[in-house]
Amino acid sequence: MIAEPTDRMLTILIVEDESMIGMLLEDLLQECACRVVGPANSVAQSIALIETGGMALDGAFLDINLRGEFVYPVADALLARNVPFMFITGNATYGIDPRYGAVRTLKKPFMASAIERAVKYFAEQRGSF
Amino acid sequence: MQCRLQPVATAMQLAANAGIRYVFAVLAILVAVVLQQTLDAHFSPLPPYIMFYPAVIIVAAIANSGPGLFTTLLSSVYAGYFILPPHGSFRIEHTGDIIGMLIFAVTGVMVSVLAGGFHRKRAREKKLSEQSLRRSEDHFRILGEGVKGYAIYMLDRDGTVVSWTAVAEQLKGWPEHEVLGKNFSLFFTAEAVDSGRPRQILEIARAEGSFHEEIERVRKDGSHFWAAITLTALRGEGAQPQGYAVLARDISERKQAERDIAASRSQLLSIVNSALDAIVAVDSAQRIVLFNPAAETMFGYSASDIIGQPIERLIPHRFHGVHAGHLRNFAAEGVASRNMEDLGTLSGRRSNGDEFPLEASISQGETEGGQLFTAILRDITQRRRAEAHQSLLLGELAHRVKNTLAVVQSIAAQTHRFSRPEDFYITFCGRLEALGNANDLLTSSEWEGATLADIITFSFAPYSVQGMVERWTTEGPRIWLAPNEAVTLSLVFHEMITNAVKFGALSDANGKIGINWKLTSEDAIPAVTIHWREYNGPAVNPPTRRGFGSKLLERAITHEFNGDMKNDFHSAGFECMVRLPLSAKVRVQT
Repeated sequence: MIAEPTDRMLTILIVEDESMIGMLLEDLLQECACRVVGPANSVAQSIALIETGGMALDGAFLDINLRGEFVYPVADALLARNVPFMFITGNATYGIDPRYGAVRTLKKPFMASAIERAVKYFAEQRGSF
Repeated sequence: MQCRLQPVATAMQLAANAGIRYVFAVLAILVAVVLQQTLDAHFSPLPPYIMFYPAVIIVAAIANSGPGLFTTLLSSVYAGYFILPPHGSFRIEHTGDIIGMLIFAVTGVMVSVLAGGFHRKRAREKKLSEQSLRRSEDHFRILGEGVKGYAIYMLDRDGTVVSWTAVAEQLKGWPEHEVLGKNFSLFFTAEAVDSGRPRQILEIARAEGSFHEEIERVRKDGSHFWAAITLTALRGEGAQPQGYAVLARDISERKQAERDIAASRSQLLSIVNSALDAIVAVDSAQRIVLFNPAAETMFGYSASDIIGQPIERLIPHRFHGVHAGHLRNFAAEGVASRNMEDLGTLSGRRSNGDEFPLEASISQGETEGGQLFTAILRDITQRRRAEAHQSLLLGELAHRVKNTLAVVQSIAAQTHRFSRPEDFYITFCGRLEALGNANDLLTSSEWEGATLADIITFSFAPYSVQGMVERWTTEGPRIWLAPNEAVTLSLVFHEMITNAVKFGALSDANGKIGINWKLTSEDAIPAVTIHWREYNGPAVNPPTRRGFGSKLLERAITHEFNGDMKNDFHSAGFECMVRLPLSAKVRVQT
């Protein structure tokens, strides 16, 4: 049986410095049949995973503030590779650099339906590239 | 009535005068005749007119031309009848006598005419001088009494009052008879007299020609009043003044008004000067005319430096055009005052170039000096900062609440995954309590962070009862952890303590736990290494399956802290080495 590209397991990067939240997101994504990369807890670690991980990423969830460090360089690296991503945030837009105003957000706490929508979004994006 | 009678009286007077003058002429002729008769007896024959020439001259000179001509005529008749032959007849025998009479008559007429001219000239001059006198008297009266409120009086060179007017009496209260002959020091206050002021004033007026001052003076009743005094030296022929003309005016009302204005001005100034808000006023040319101390503090200019300068000095360059437009519109609208909030954020510029936000209200009004715009300004830098801080805190709070909810969600998910359903509630609540305790600890430091010792103590809180607290010890340097790290470590310690209570050292009556930490630098990485050692307890076995506790421990230490850890399940007790590299989030507290 020849697998359609959309049937392939999605590979999702998690960038989140809080272990509890990282663990939760990991569990939730695994429930949605995704393969998880990370969680990475810093910009350097994230970039290393993107550049040398050897894995084609289908999407990413980025916590904006990583122990006082902004995640934007990771966002730029993903943009450069046409990898769709979403910000993880407690607030709708609070603290997000206006340059990334168009980027979708995943709000805490995580609703199962929101995770499903996000995964669907990543799947659609993959189809368009 | 007096006017109608005037010409009659003058005519009668003239008639009486004329009568006397002609009687005088007759008497002069009689005297001349008597002298003629007397002298003729001794020195005969005398020239016939020797006594009549003097008579005509005297009469004409004294009594004017009419009586002169009358004397000439009467003398000629007398000479023709009594003196020239034949006597007792008007007929004249000798041609020489006729010529002599003609000469006398012609001379008498000439003398009389000349005398008449002389008399008319004198009369004219007298009349002119009388008119002139009357005029100057009128002037003085007008000055002295006609000019309302001005008292005019004269002093001699020593300051003695020599003339007085009704207005002077009105002003000062003394009637004329009480002041004439008195020194004008009468009008001065006692202190002024003591200090020799009256004499000084005369000296100044003498030296400079005049003297003016506004001074308190005294009335007859002893009351004081403010007077404007002008002394003018009156110089005669010599260099020294003959006296002084004094012009005095009561200016008490004006002085009171001036004092009222000064009082209200000083009241206003005190309000403006003590105001906490900056008050800046500009004229219609937008030049600063008022700058209070609060404005000096706010803008960093002193009033003396900025007054007269254009208002633009206080406004950032990029707002110059906008401001001028605002002011024009405001002036054009003619509204008396306006709060500037509806103009949006305003900016001021300090002398050092710093910009700052300000709140203002502006008012306009007409003054004698023209249009005046007054702005009351408040520096809202502090308020803006506080507002920004508050908004930041609110944003952070919302973020933290959502984050905590996500952590709770994660705890629920993990508990659900690793616990038996019947244990879920108890286990979940225990973890929630650990999270709550960590939050309490952080709240006490305003979410700045917590020390390792406090985190451990708070994690033991549910078991801190009599007989238990002695069973664990903590020791190590002060290590400070940031809020997120503190929460994670609290959850980690909660799991370790729970395990010790369930399976380890705290599961029997004798077991103990020693928790020590020290600074290490293994592989040149500065870190704090925590040594958890359970002893004296029951023998332990490695767990058969991996639970949430060990998953969290491993994840948190390696993932969140970038550290490492080592577990040992000795038969003597569980032992664990946790190494947390030092960072901005984990550091030695000095």
